[in-house]
Amino acid sequence: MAGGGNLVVTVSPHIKSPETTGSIMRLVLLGLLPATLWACVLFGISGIAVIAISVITALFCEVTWHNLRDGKGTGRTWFALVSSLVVPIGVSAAGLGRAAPAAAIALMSAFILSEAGISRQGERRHSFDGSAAVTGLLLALVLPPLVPWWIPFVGAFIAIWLGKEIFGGLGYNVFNPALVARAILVLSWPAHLTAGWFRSLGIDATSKATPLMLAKTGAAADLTAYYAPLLLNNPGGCIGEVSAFLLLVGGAMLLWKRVITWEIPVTYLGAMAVASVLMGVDPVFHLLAGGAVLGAVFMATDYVTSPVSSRGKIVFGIMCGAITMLLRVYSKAPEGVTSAILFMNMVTPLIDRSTMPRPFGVVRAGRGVRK
Amino acid sequence: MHQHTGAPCEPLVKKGDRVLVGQKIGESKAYVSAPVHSSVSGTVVAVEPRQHPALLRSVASVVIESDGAFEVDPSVKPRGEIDSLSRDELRQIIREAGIVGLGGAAFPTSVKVSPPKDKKIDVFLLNGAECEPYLTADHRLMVEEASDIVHGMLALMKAVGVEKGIVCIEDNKPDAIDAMSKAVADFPNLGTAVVKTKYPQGGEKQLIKAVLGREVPPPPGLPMDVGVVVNNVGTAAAVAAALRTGMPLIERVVTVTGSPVREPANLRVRLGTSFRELIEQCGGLSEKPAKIIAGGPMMGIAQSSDEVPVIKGTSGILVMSEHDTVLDEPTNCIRCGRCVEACPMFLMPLYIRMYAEAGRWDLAARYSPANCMECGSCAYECPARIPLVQWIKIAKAEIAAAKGGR
Repeated sequence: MAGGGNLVVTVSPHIKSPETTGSIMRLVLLGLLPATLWACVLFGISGIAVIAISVITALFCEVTWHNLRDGKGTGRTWFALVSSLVVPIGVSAAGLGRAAPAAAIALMSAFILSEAGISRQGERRHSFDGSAAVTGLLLALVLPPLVPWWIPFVGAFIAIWLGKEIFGGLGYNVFNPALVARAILVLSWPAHLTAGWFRSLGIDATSKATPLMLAKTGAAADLTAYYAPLLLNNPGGCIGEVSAFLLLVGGAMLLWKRVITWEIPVTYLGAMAVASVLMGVDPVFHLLAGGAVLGAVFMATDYVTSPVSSRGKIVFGIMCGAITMLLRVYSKAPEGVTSAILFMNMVTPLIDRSTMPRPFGVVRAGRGVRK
Repeated sequence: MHQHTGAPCEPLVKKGDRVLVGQKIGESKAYVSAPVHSSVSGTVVAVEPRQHPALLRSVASVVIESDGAFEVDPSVKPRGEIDSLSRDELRQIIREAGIVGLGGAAFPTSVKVSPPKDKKIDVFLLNGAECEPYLTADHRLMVEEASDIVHGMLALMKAVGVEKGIVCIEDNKPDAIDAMSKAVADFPNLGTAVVKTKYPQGGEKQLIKAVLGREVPPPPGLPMDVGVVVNNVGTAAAVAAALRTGMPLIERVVTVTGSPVREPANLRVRLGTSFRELIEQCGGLSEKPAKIIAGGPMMGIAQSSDEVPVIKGTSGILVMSEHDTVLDEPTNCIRCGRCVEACPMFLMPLYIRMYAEAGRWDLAARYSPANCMECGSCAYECPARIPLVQWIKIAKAEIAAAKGGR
């Protein structure tokens, strides 16, 4: 029998849902898996390389930032950071250009694994909750498959450090980190980011443009011809745009597991469809083409950068969809998903404040925050 | 001496006194209070502060050594039929019997059945929706003592002055629904309502919303503001006992459960019995306990010792093994919105916590933390393991203090 001591006294509740941040992140990775695997098959080593570099660099950035922030292993962390930059450059300079990404991956992986081992022995660390892996994978999925290896490498640094950590880390960032990285990469190296689309499988083998570009320039007369490839094996586009169908399969799994809720994906895509009809463009094509499904299901639903209440999510989704179509039709660029989501990320705090649920029993006339 | 919400009692006995079962041993002149009675016959061995299972501090207590005879005090005698008693007489009987809400909050029942004259009460709800997961005391009581419950319910309704009464039961207790439906069949003014099984369905406000579709206004709003008085089934049974035998509230049904408990059971125990004795009565423990909780898993209070007494508000004793105990450190809020989705009061716990952590009580107040009933649903759901309820409690206290100081 327990006499006096040795009983744990904590605050209620005494039972907790089994869900943790880590378990949620693992499910998101699982949701992205079908499209990712299919992309690896279609794009082969080039696609795999972009995904691997992006994910590993993202983890590496997360661990190094946390180490330096917390003052843990400062020396070895700086050493790892510098060597992961210098060694690949040295390898390249020595004329072994193709070995450079392998060297970077090897160095970063070694550091990540050793730190994971240290954190398992020591106190609980948050560098390995899976959120950095999600960001890294999402970044890879919004890059073309034939970009130089240092594009995902630099991109992951931008995503994790600039997109997330400088705001205070997970939960505090204003913008979707993967999309921040994509936006900056597009501005910095437009040539790399708007080409490098894969061309294979005999479909449109000579094209150097994505279906959206063709539609924009009017080069593609019959958009219905693109429906099936966009659903199943899109020949031109970012890695993650390989199959709208597989993205939807992953999204359905996340809905079923209650990782995401219906509001944002449904209203995002619904608003796009309505806007397409109003603007006189093909709604089916626009829903399937480009990053619409990836954006609506996996990017706009990012917890941190989207509203928390049901009503707020609906407002957010509708606005994302409308802005995406406005940009696609009226801007110079063929695609508008990245800009639409980043813009809406910015106004998320305002949406949250304006869509506060009505507290139980409160009768109020006007909307907005009560005084 | 403090087994209820309200003013504590003053001891009426001193060390060395002989007391009998049902004898009043503590009383307060305050309106919101309830007297305390001895649950055994024997000798007062101490009147001193002892550890309290809900207030988590030492509280003036009367320690009685039982003589094992359970000799009943002569004041304990039947009070007559409900029809022969007036409203005020009923209220007086309820007050003198020390009856409080047995759902867990332990609010003095005499106060609850005496709504101010300007509040029109049209429905009486009897709460048989178990207040917390794991607890089954109300369930067993409804199955085994349905007619007593109805008797007490009629008395409570007369004390309130209300015609219509509804027994509310969750849909996962078909045997209780059955028993209670039979028991109310003879009374055209009584009925039963089956509600969905979910937490916190047993919360007064949730129950009123589920059965009547009425929303109780936020604090200081009370059920009586929407014409409703809610009482727990255990309270009704205690009222029935006080009328039929005259025995005041000296015992209650307690659920003793948890994975280390060898034979989990609902026990009818005399108030003042220690948690340790109850656990022993249930076959003891199969492994070392990590936590002993007074109440249920969602709102119960972790104890530092098993040498604390069962009091009027002790609805359950939950023993948790180390394996059952979650001791994760909180991580960053990822704004997943699960707390917003879970909150039965439609609050935004993450924002209350965010501003509370920053000490911005003015901003936290915008998110109405005062409406929180501390059910724990948000903290249960939180994947980052943030103790949201505690942050909300802190915000409540700080905001109230700021108002008081102004």
